[in-house]
Formats: sequence, C-alpha cells, structure tokens
Amino acid sequence: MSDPAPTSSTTTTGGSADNSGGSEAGGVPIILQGVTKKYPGTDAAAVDNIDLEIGAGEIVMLVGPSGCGKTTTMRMVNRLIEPTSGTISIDGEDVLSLNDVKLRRTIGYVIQQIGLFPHLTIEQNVAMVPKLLGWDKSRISTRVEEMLAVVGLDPHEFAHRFPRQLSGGQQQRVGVARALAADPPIMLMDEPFGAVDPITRTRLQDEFLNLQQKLRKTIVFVTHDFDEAVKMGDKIAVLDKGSRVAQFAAPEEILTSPADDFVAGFVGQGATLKRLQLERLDSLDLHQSSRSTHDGVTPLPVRSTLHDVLDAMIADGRDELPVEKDGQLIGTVTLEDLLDRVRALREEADGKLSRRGDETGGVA
Amino acid sequence: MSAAVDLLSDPDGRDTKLHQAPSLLTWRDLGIPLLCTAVVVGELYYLSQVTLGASQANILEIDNLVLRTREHVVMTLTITVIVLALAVPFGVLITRPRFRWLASPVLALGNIGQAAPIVGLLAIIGSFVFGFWPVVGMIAAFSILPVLRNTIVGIEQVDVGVKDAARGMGMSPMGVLMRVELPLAIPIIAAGTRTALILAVAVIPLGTDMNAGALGELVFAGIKLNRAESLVCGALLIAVLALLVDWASGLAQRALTPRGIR
Amino acid sequence: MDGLPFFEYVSLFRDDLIFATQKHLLVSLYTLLIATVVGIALGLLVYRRASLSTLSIGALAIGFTIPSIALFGLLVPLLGTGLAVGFPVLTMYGLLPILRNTIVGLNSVDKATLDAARGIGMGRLRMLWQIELPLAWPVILTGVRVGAQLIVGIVVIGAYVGVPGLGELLFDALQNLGAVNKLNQALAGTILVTLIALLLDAAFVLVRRYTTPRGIRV
Repeated sequence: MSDPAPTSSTTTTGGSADNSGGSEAGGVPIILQGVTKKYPGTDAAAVDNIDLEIGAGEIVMLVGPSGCGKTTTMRMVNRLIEPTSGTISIDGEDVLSLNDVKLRRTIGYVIQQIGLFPHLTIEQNVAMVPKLLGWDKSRISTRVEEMLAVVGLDPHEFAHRFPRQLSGGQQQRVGVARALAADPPIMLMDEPFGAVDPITRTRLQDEFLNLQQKLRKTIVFVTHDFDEAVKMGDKIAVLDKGSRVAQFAAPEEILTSPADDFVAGFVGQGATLKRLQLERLDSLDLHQSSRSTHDGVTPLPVRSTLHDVLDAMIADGRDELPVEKDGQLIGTVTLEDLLDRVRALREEADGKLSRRGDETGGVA
Repeated sequence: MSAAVDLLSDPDGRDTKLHQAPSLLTWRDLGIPLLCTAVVVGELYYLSQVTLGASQANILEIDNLVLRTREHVVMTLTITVIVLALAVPFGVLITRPRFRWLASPVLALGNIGQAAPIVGLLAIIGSFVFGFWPVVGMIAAFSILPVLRNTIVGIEQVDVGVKDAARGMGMSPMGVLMRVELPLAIPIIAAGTRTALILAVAVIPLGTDMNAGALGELVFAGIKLNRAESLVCGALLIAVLALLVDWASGLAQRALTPRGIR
Repeated sequence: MDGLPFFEYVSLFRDDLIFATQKHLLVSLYTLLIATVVGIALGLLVYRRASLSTLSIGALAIGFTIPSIALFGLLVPLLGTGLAVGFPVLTMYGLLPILRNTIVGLNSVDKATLDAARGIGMGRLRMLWQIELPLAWPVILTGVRVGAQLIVGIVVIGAYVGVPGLGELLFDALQNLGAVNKLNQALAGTILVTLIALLLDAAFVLVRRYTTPRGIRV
C-alpha cells in the first residue's frame, strides 16, 4: 500500500466493466431503509428500523458499543444475515431481489479474523473471487500480481507462500488484496485492523486511506474504536442499542457538536485532541525555516495530522520541527502553532456547545 | 520456490522464515518396512528349517501364506472403502445446519456401539449368515465410528473466520464445503481412517469361524491343533500387516494433507 | 438353532452369566490397577527428559498398532495360556494410554506456573505432588479411562487363548455357530460386555468429577 506502483484505477477499468459499477466512479451508493433484524425468540430487535444513506465513494464508519448491532447491520448489506424487514439497495438495485451468492462476489469483505484460506497460497487466496467470477487464467494472474503490489507485498516474494508464513499485518494486507481483487465497488470491513498491534494498525490505516484516495470505493467500516472512526471516516454513524442511529455526520461535527449525551459519552474526554487527528499540517501557516539544516531530524510530511506532529514533538522533545513536501523542505512548525490551533478549536467547540445548550433550553 | 527469497526480511518484523516443506519420505520412514521384512524373512527361514507335521505343513505352505495375506489385504481395503463411502458423506451431512442436532445422538450411539465386543457381534450375525460379505459388513459397521467422528470434528474445527470469509466473498454452501471445509478437514479424516484400518486388520481374524478370517485361519488352526508353528506364524503376519498398513496410511495422510497446513 | 426365548435363556443360565461377568470384571480391574501403577510410575521416570518422552511415545504408538490377537498368539509359546499370558498382555495394553497421557499431561503443565512454584521456593518433590500431578490429573485419568475400555475389550479377545471372562461365552458361540442357544449366548455376552464397558466409563466420569481440583474443573 505504501507504494502502489501500478494504481488499480488506471489498469483495471476494463476489468471492472463486467462487475457493476466500474472503478472510475469508484463506489456506488448504498441505501438502507427501515431495515430490521429480529431473531426468533428474542423480544428486542438486534437491528431496529435503521435508515442510512451511504454516498458513492464514502467511508462510513459504524461505531458503537459491543452488541449495538453494528456488525449485524453491515452483514445485512451482503446478506450474510437476511433482514427481517426493510429494503437495502446498492446503486439503486434492490439487494434482496438478487441471488445472495452472486451478490457477495461483487462486494469486498474484510474481517478482523482475516480468514485467509490456510491451505491455499497467497496467490490462490487473492485469485479466489476472480476465479469464482470465471475470469480467464492470464487475467487472474496479472490481477493478483497487481493487487499484491498495491498492498505493498512483493509478488515474487509472497505469491507462493502460505498464510501461516506471514505476520499478522502481512496477512491482513493479503485480506485487503483479496477483497479488492475483483474490483468491487463496495467494501464491507468489520474491525479489519483490530487484531494487529497498535503500530502495525496505524500503518495499515494510513496505507488504506492512501489507497482509498485513489480507489474511491464505497466502504462500510465497523469499529468499536472511536479514534479509528474519527481517523478513517468520511462520515461516522454512532449507533446505540438496536442499531439506533444516535448521530450520522462528519467526524468534525460529531466531535464539536455531539447530538446527545450518548454520543457525547462515546466521544469521551479529549475531543479537542481527537480533532487534531482531522487537521493536517497543510492547514497551518508554516514558518520559513531559519536554519537550513535540522541536524538529523526527520522532516514531517505535509500530509501529517496535527496529532502526529504533536506526537513527534513530544517524542523528540523539540518545539520546532521541519516539514517536507515531495522531499523538499518547505518550512517549520512550532509547538506554539499547535497550541494556538488547539485554543481555536476549543473556542469553536465551546461556542457550538453553548449554542446547543440554548436551543435545547439550557443544560446549565 | 527459490530458497533465497525465503530469508528476506519481513517488514512487520516477524520471523517468517519459510518452513522447508517437509519431504514426504525420510530415512526414518524406512525403519518399519525394514523391520517387517526382516521379521517375515526370519520366519520363512525358520519354517524352512523345522520339520512340520502334515497338517502344519499344509497350512504353512508358502502358497497358503500368500493367499491368506492377500485375503487379509483385500478384506481390509474393502472395509476401508465401505467405511469411507458411508462415514464421510454422513459426517458431512451431520455438519450441515439442518442436521446438526443429529451429531450428539449419533456420536453417543456410536460410542455405545464401540463398547460392544466385535467377537459377540460376529457371533450374532454369524448365527444367520456366513462368509466374506457378512464379516466385511459387520467389521465395517464396527469401524465406522472413528471416521465418522473425525469427519465431524474435522469439519467443525475449521476456523469460523475462514468460513465467514469464504461465504462473504461469494462461495455457495457447496463451494465452501468443497474448497474450504473438506480440504482443511483432510488430515483429521485421514487420522480417523488410519484408526479404522488398523482396527479392521486386527479384527478380521475373528471371521475365521465364518469362513472369512484370512490370516486368522493360521492362528485358529494353531489353537485347535495345539501347534505353536501356525499360531506364531499367523500372529506374526497379522502384526506385520498391521504395522505396514499403519505405516502406509501414515504416509498417505502426510501426502494428502494440503501443504499450507502441513 | 432353535433355542430358548432370550429371557428364558438368561434366567436359566443366570449363574453361568454372573460367574463369567465376575471373572471378566476381576481380570479387568486387577490388570487395570497394575497398569495404572506401572504406567504412572514409568511416566514419572520418563517425562522430564524430552528424548526419553519422545522415544516412549513412539514405542507406545507401535504397541497400539500391534493387534492384541497377534500379541497373544506370539506370547502363548513363551508364557502358556490363560492368565499366564493374559495378565502381562492386558497390563501392557492398559499401560499404553496411561503412560502416554501421564507423559503428555505432565509435560503440558504451564511452564509459567512451574516457574512461579520454583520462584516461591518449592522443592522438586513438593512441586510434583502439589502442582504438576494435580494439574495433569485430568489427562492422566483420561488415560486410565481409555486403558479400562481397552482392557475390557481385550479380555474378550484373550478368551481364545484361555483368558477367563465373558469372551469364553462369545468364542464358544462363534465357534459353534448354529448350535442350540448359541445366539442367546452371543447376545447375552455382548450385552454384558457392553454394560461393563459403559458402567466402567460412567464410573470414571464420577471419579473425574470428585478428584479433579476445583479450579480446573470444566
């Protein structure tokens, strides 16, 4: 993923023409209307009458406490779980009227347990969905090589290995490559980075975001980790018991104006710090560097989040760090800049909160 | 696969040194067949040196030994084929959601069946019918449990995540079974088959009184005539056959196991 | 082969059946007892050395493969018939699962637990008695249970070389197929052996429940 040599969108447009959507537009919209899942013998519905509109090319994060029905909601989109009532449409087509097995071949699926087939090589794993779709051999093998490269695995080194010969992080890269292999317009991801260590997780998240910038798939992403939701989501749906949508909005909005106490509780402490994850260095005015060298300090890419910048400053014990863009030093950022930004964010948030208080009759 | 590639460093910092695929046959695997050959050669030499009474000489003639051994092998293979043909499909059926409730009662019944003495079961069926098929059928029924149990266990132990991924990517239930569940269950099913094979070799001699005892003929002739020569020779050949069948099925088990999970 | 109706046969030959059952049980229990003592003792001698453990388990696997009918046959010329060959052979087969499970059970005790025990100053023997054996006990007991099942079954086979028990009735039936009452005899013997095996197994479930340390009960 770090170095997606041949980007998928340029080389695979032809390939994706036959499996709906097409990769130039990236994803397609998904609409859930009044979707309910009730298991026999239980009183409360696991998912109770959820409405959700997911725009083409968006990453929508379903976040909520365990047992809130977020995974059930996601699994109804590819009908691994059949809804009791309601309608789900993908690109305007009613999902429930389609053949469920064929439907799933057009939807990428990535899960926390990864679920690579241990008896098949990495190559055979990635080739599985194209094979199910009846692609010819040469097309499959080009595609497999391409996908492995896209997720940052050298095809020559990894294609013939077996899953158990890979680390957890590498396995999940293969999991992502496998889900993307047939270039599906939609991806369903259930805590995909939940089982790897924090450092690998951060790396996989960053690489996945980079990839998504090029692919623009429609992604339904389930997590219980609010920080991950803030980092990854174009929009976040905060779900309460029974998949009640407590708030469905962009991360900034949820952080600055949580819709109710449940959401506020879920956002938790340190909303301002979390917002730093959403701001990138290029939104600040950089200082022109006074010094030409920064004695061995690695410059920060201009795409870094302010959260990363703060982290680097604390780790290095410095209050000024150089910034680079495409390998060129373009200036420096100081701790004072960051603190100014934090103050501004806080004022903004307080303003919104008090406004909300006024509207609802005062929280006192 | 080139070995040089295997040692390349792993970006995630985990040791992923490629396990050298274990070769199918090593020198150690030759121990059992060598031992068995030595035992059989030794026994044949001994028989050629001693003077046997007329009855023993007939029974222990080389043609008869070959015939009885071949009968034993044929019966063992027939039993195995019947066991596999019944136990695997039935085991697969029992793991399907619709029939899963059957698993516990069937296994409980099987356990009770295994506690029954095969000598008694043969005596019961032998009161009505004689010969090859009744003996083979009874022993097959008696040996079915290990294969059935291992088929069920083998399929059920397949990782839930793997099955979920298979379904989620658009495999039909039949596809999940054939491409994922069965291949991953092979080592366990093979282990059960190995147990059933050994069991079959061991109990076939009890079919002697139903005219289908293969090497058992030698053993029971020895007992009836009170002659050690044919008793020992029969016992020796049964033991050698059991060891060889176990050895061969061990190799087969290794060869059938998909490389990724070996 | 017309004989008595089954229940009349059973009541008429009640004493014979009971006697055969008693013999079967006694032979089984005695050999099981010896096998248990010897098996656990050998296991304790062997388990701390990895090479010896591997070797023993390999040898045991070969032992499992040799059919009992063959082993009886091979040893009759050396040991004679009846209990003379019965006791050693039955003990040997009973020993196999007990020794194997003793080695496996003792070796599967969590290394961190042992380290902690050593860390608080436990000696070898105390550690064995207070930590390793109690933790390995369920596995060892399973070995004894499997050994019991094996022995009960092999006593039947042993009847062909004169080992006393219900096998005598069954082989007699098998060798006189079609004679009067032989089907009854086979049925009664089969049912009684099955009952012995199942009751013994049930007994082990109880023993296991009351002798497993509470913390590791499932």
